[in-house]
Amino acid sequence: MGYEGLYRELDMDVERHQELMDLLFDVYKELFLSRKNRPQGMAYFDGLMAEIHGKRIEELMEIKKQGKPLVGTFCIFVPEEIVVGAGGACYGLCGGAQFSIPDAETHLPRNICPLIKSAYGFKLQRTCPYTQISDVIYGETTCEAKKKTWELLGKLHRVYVMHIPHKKGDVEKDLWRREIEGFMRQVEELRGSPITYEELKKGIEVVNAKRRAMRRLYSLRSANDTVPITGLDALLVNQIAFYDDPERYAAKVNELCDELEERINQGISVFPKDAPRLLVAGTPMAPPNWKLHSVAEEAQAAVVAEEACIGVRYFRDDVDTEGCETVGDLLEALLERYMKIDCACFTPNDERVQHILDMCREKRVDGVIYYTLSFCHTYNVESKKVMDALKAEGIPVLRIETDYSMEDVEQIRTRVEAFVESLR
Amino acid sequence: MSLFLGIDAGSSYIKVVWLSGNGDIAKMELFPTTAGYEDAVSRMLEGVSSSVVTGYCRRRISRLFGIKSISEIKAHALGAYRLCPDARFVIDVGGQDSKVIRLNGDGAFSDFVMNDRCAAGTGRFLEVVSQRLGVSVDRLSELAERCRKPATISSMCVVFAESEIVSLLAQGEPVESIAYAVIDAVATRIASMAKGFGVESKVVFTGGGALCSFLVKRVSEKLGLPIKVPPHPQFAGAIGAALEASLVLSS
Repeated sequence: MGYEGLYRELDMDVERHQELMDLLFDVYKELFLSRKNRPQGMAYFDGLMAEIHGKRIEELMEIKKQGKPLVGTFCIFVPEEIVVGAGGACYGLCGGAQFSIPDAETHLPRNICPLIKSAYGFKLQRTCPYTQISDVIYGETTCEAKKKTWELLGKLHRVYVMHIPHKKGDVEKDLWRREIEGFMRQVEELRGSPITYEELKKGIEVVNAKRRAMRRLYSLRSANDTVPITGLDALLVNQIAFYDDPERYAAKVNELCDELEERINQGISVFPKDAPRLLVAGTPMAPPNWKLHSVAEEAQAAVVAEEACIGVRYFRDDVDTEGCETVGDLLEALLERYMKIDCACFTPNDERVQHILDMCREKRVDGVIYYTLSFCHTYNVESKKVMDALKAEGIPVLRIETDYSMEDVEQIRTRVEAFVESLR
Repeated sequence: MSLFLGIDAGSSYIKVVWLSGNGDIAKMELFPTTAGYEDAVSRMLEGVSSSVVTGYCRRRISRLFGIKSISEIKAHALGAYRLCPDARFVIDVGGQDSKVIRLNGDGAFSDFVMNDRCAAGTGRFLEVVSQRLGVSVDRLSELAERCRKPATISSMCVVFAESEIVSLLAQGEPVESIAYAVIDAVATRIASMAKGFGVESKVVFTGGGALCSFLVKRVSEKLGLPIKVPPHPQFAGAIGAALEASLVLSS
């Protein structure tokens, strides 16, 4: 598609990358482009998806050539506001496909989560342009498998690691403050100049605006009985948040939301009025992981929210800059915001359970699917607490544990269909 | 006279049931799920008033012939209700999965748990082992009954269990002891799933696995509960589908 030169410049394996793209677009056509009654505003996101390894990489190359930092991440704990403030780009790296896992398993144990294996495999294969173009990959210590994998990844690419605390006391807060400061210094070093108060504030505002747009979409998905957009399309929009230019993205999400409001006014729903409404809670779904949403919605249930890192955990809280007068104040505001994240890597993590119960009420869901990737111990173990709390409230819940391979789709379908039948 | 067809297109066998207008079972058929099963299904659809499909291959059949499909859970709940109206729990052991279903008492279900993606605790496990022992799966149960000195296998993965069996054979363990070990291992798996789910009374056992009487006995012992096995337990899903077909038409 005319990006070969760029791919070679990024030291990519062009042939294998083409194989990946062919697979990806076959799936994309079937799951998205062939569906009817999609909002017109999805055209932008379809276009972005089509160019996700094309034009968007060219844009990142432009940023790189201006000497601005490109930071690739795997976790919503990395404070992207700092990178955006520095004029650079912070984005998610490929890590949602089975395609790279067999390669990863030549180095990594099989019994660690597919997200890590997939991400590491992409580096080994040199098939992810985002990974290849990154000045630095920012890892974190959310789990054992990740933190040890970064040591191996560090042999193949420049990797820094942020130490994410696992409790929320004062000691841990101090640690996280230092980590954020350290992150900022690294970004400044990459750019070769300090980040000013104005720049950082702008970075925060840009990302806040993006989160606001995402929250707007989040609330429109379940405003009333009219479901104006499928969960699958909304998931895609949430996924693209990790790749696109944040300002352009926010504008496009808002345009989509204008259309969705119009649809709601006209009663244009993508599901029948009595379709059961589902909340999906658990581990993130990185593209092209569309497995559960497509199965659930083919069973005629509407997924109206994702309680996940690619979902509400990413956009629930803004950074409050009120009264911030110095860079130090802004960093403190970042600290406060990031410590609110209710990731299962924390112990205890009771606020997550409460958040899920609140979401169920607010979104008037008929049931919850607790989705966990195989070998994601934190979310896996925490499922019991969440499910017990849901059952105590009389909210039906189904637990699905799976990975990126497609071999269990029919088994998952049986369970999801039966769950949906039980909700009717 | 109206006839309602229920098809349970499972991973190992396709079970078909014809219900007559008064709700009696008019006919039942069973054949292996092998290439070309669609033709056989197509012939059975002739002359029926309505039909419903369930089972692993339900989507393919539903699309091919434009008939309604329901999940196995719903089908087994309906089927079990028809076979044992007072049952509150169904344990179903099929070819590639096993499940426990909580019944509402009116043919519907409220909750279920399933073991999937792994042959442990399924009929497939028993099949693989029988092959290794050189006996038919129907004989496994009677061999186990005759066991005098039980062996144990610790691995619940079919692949590993198979190699454990090979080593038991190498040690000269009698076939009866190995048959016991295998069925007992499957029973442990199913019983722990059922216990964790909260099975407490009025249990009915369906699916091909229910034909293995020693398996039912061991599960019952491990749960400390009596378990009913209806006649033709492997047709429970197809009966449920046929009942759904009669409802489709009447609604």
